This record gives sequence, structure tokens and C-alpha cells, in this order.
Amino acid sequence: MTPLDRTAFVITAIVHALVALFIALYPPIAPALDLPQQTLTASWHHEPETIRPAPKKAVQKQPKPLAAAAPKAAPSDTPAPASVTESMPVEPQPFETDRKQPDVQTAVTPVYPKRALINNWEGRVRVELRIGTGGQITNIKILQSSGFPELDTAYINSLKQQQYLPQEFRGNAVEGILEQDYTFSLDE
Amino acid sequence: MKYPIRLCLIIFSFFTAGACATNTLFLENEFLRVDVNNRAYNTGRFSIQTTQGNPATPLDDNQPLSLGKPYPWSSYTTFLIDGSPIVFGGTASKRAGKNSVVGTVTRQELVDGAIETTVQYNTLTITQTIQLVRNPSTLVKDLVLIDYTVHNTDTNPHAIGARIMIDTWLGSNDAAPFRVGELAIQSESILDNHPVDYWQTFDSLSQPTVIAQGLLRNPRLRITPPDRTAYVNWGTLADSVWDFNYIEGRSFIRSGESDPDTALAMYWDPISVPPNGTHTIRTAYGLGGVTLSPGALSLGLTAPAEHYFTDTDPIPVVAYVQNTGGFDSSDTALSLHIPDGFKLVSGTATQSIGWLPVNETRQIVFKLQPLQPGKGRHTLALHATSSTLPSNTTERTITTIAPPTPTHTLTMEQLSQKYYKITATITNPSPHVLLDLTYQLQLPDGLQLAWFESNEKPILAFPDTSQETLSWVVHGSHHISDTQLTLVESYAGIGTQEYLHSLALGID
Repeated sequence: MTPLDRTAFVITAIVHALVALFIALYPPIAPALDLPQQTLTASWHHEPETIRPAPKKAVQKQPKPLAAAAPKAAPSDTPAPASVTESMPVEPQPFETDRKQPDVQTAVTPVYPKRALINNWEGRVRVELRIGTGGQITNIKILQSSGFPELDTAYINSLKQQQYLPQEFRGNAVEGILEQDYTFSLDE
Repeated sequence: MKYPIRLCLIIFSFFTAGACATNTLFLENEFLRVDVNNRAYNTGRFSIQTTQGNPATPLDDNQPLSLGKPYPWSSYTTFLIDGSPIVFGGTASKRAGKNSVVGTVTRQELVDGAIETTVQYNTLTITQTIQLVRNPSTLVKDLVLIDYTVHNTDTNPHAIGARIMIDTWLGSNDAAPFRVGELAIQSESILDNHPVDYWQTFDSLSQPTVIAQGLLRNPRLRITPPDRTAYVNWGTLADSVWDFNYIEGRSFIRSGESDPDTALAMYWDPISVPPNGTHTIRTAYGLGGVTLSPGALSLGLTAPAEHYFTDTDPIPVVAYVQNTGGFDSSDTALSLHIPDGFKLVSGTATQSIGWLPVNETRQIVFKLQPLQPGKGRHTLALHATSSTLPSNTTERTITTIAPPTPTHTLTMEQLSQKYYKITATITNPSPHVLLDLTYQLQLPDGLQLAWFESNEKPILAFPDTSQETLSWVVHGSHHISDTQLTLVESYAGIGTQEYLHSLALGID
């Protein structure tokens, strides 16, 4: 073993020891790293609710402040909280037959770009489409790139060729969000 | 510590080399290399590239003629069997013919300088044979012969058609236009029964990277003329294994993408193949034999370098002129000087092109025929003139030769009291691969073929300067010590010859 090899071995051992010590002393770091992902995921699932508000949720939120004020108001015979709820405007409920989110009417399979085939590029593309009331795409956001712009472009091109049905609320078309994904993979 | 690392590297590289060696089977010479995919997917698909290419073209070393990266996959062959398309070879892993029906690859190996791949599909056995052969345009082995033979082992006939699709890729150019006869194909086209002998593709006459050529007709190589050829963008042909959405005049932009990408599909319409019958289609693709003369008017002249004087087919000659002079050419004219002993049977010797814009190319087809049989070297000369650019001239030689003749010896040995074995040793002394030879014996009275013996013995491809041995078991009605018999040789494109041999037991 040469002196250089010995030095390299010692440095490697020290680095490993430091990493082990760091992990042992700071265990909470792992959950913290997960936070941005959770936030990101949640935002996609909540956005459709802002477009198609759920009245049930709004009613549930309201009683909190009212319940807190109730003990103070009881001696003066103020109306029960129930009557307060009745006086609030009731948000309209969606029909059972409403399309809860936009839907793909005519699917188009993405073309696997030749350059990607030559280079054996593979990957998954995940996108968020905003579908307008006429079924047209009004915005495309890439949530997860394949890592190869040509694959991402090929998928987006296919999405642009697809036909969509808009989301509905009480029988009327409304703007909605649709999440789509595709995996470019080679069998070989 | 260094030594174990080196040892590991050496062991690793050995394993890697071993793995790579099995990815493709290949044939290679100083001009071309053809690879046949030997992996689990896309098995049997081939690609062609130059090694040193045309010695006169310095830019064409190690350049592709069809795409083969990382392994051959983008060119493929389809058989239409009773109306259903079957892609030849292993399962497609990529876009070209993906999700199509395939047969079972039962064999793929190097046999006598050829790569043979056999696919079994129900009762049909399809064999692809790939080999490097002598190019009639250049006289060297810079041409890949692609042969498919379908054997119907069923008791019923089957209708069998074929389509060979080649993803042309010349050097770095995936979109070089095609030149077929007098046509320069710049957009999608289908040619039905077009009476031309070959198609060519190249990027420039003044500084070509690679000049490629495919044969559509050649009786000597037994090329099967296709019923139609389609010049279409690769994406369309990759996605459709037989029929495709044809839009005449559409650009070569790859379907679903934005890059130009040319490809060619040759179609042979279905024919009925009887029980135990065979159906063969054969084409060839390799380097183009074009003699070039760069200049303000760059010239190219292509013609077969050799011509058997027994051939009755006229000799096709294609002349190209490209304006590489920097400004337009006016009053452009091409004239072909025809050597003594030849006559022009198609086209006129002097043709006016007129105005030729910068970088534009024109091509003119001539057909010649020898006036009488005879050996010799004949020089064709092409002369281009213009009122605005300097003139230019190029020359090309055609040699008329006698067809190669195989030689043979016959021996006889006694197997039992009344059974004899007659062996023919046949030699091909020529530098040509001889194709489709058939030998038969004409036996004298008292000798007949053994009941299990077939009289016709074919040699499908007879390599240059090589020997083949054929044998027949015959039955004599009485003891025979010497006899005379005739060996009948049938040679495609040449005809039938009979050779009388005197045979004695154990000697010729």
C-alpha cells in the first residue's frame, strides 16, 4: 500500500465517521425534507375545490367563531346559533350528474421522438392542464419533467392534439384542472 | 493496490467485449460493414455503414448508409400473409413496427460469408440472407444483397407479399432526397412499376459525404423488381407496417415531429405460394458507383462498370449535373459521347437543360446497347456547357466481358453392389458471386437416381473463387465400372449448358 493509498483510506474513514455522527445528532432533518413535496401535492388537489367550492366545507368553517361567542350571548336570549346558520346564504350544490373534473374525449398517443429512440432516452412526464369551458387547453404546467426536453415536448404535442370535455358545475361548463402523465419507455 | 484495480478493469473489459460481440452479427470488408441485430428485441434487423467506403471519396469513411444506432432497429421488413402483416424478426422494442405481429426467430448465424436469420410463422419458414457482393457499378464488394425466401410447408397455398423499408441515413444527413431515373424526389412519392434499374441518394455532387445506391432491377444478381416503391418520411413508414397514409407531395418531415427524415419502402404485391413452394424476393443496397467531376458545373456519371456481352438488357447510364458555380447557369446543355460499338436505345445524346439555378441538380437517363458481342473497354464521356459558367467533362469506362463460367469435375464411387455415388466438384474461378445455379444429371441407360434422390441441385449463392460439392446417389441395374453421363448446368441470366463426362469407378 503506497502512502497515497493510506492517506486516502484515512480520509474516507474520517468522512464516514462525520456523516454517521451528523445523522445520529440530527434525526428530525428527514421529515423536514419531505415538506415541500407535501405542499406541492396538496396544492394540486385543492385547486379544483376553489373552482367548484364545496358548500359543506364552508358551513363547517363558519360555526367555529359562532360557537365561541355563544356563551356570552346566552344571557340576553339571543337567537340560537342554528338560526344564524339559516340566515347565511347557502352555496349551491353540484348536481350528481356533473363532470367532477375535465375529461379526455379523444386520446392521442405521444410520438416517441427518433432522437430519443436512438439515444435510448426514457422517462415519465407529469403535467397539469387547465381546461377551459369550451374544452380547450388554456394552460399547461409541467409538474415532473422526463429529464429530456424532446420527450416533454412530444408529450405536450400529443396533449394539444387531444380533445377534452370541460368540468361541469350544476350542468354548466366551468374551467377545471386535469392532471395527466405518460411514461416513455423502451421494452428493451 | 494498483494491480488489483487493473486486473478488475481487464476482467470487466473482457466481459463488456463479450457482451458487445453478441449484440450484432456483422460482415465487414474494406468498403462496407453490415450489422444484423442479434439481441432479444429487433432480432434480424440490419443496418449498413461504410468502413473506408469509396476510395475516391475521402469524406465517406465510417459513415452510415442506414441508421444503426445503437443497434439496428429502424429499418424493417414486413410480410403480408393472407392479408395480415407480419414483421420479420424479433419483437420490436421501438417505434418501427412496435406492437406488430412477429414470428419466432429460430436461427441466426454466420454461414459461408452470409448472415442467415430464419423466422417461423405458423407453417411458413422465412429466411433472410444478408451478404456482401460485388457491385456491378464499382466491381468491388460494396453492395449488400438482401434476400428473403419464404417456404410454405402447409398443405394449403398462402398469399404472400413483402415490404422492405430502409431508413436511409447518409453520413449526418437523415433527409437526403432520392434520385430515381430522371426523377429527383424532393417530396413524398410512390412510383408504380417504374422501369428503372436503381435509385440513388447523395447530398452533393461537388463534395458528397456518401453516395448510396439501391438496385431495383438486375438480372445478373437476380434482383426482384418491386411492384412499387414509396419514398416517404420515416415516421410514417415506422408507424405503419404495411399500408400508410399517403399524401402525394407531402414534405419528408417525420410524422409527429419536426425534422426531415427520408425512408424508402419497396413493395412486392402478394402472390399465391403453393404447398411446399417457395417465394423469393431480393434487393441490394450499398455504395453508388458515380464518377464525379467537381467544378462550377459539377458532373456525375453512373453506369455498370462491367457488362456481359451476352446480356440482352440495355445498359442504364445516369448523368447528373449540379450548379455549384455560385450563380445561375443559362443555356445549360449536357451531351454524352457514345463509344464506338454502342448505340443509344433510349434518350438523346445531347440534351438542353436551359436555366439551372444555383445548387440545383438535374439528371438525365440514357440507355446503351452493344452493337455486337465482344470483349473490350469503352469510355463514355459527359460534357456540360453553359453560357454563364465554365464547361466541364467527366468520363466513365464500361468493360464488356464474357460471362464467368464455373468449371467442374465428376467422380463416381461404389456404395454397395448396385448403388453408386456421383460427386460433382464445381469451382467458381471468377471474382463474381454466382447466383442461382442449378445442376442436374442426365443418366445413361442402366443407371437411375435412387428413389430418395432429387435430380435438381441448386447453388443459390456461389461465392467468388470457391468450390462447392454436389452429390447424387444412383442405382445401377447391373454392375457398372465406367460410363458416360451429362451434367446440365442452368445459370440465371446465362442459360443452360450441357457437359459430357466420362466416368470410371473412383476416377474422373
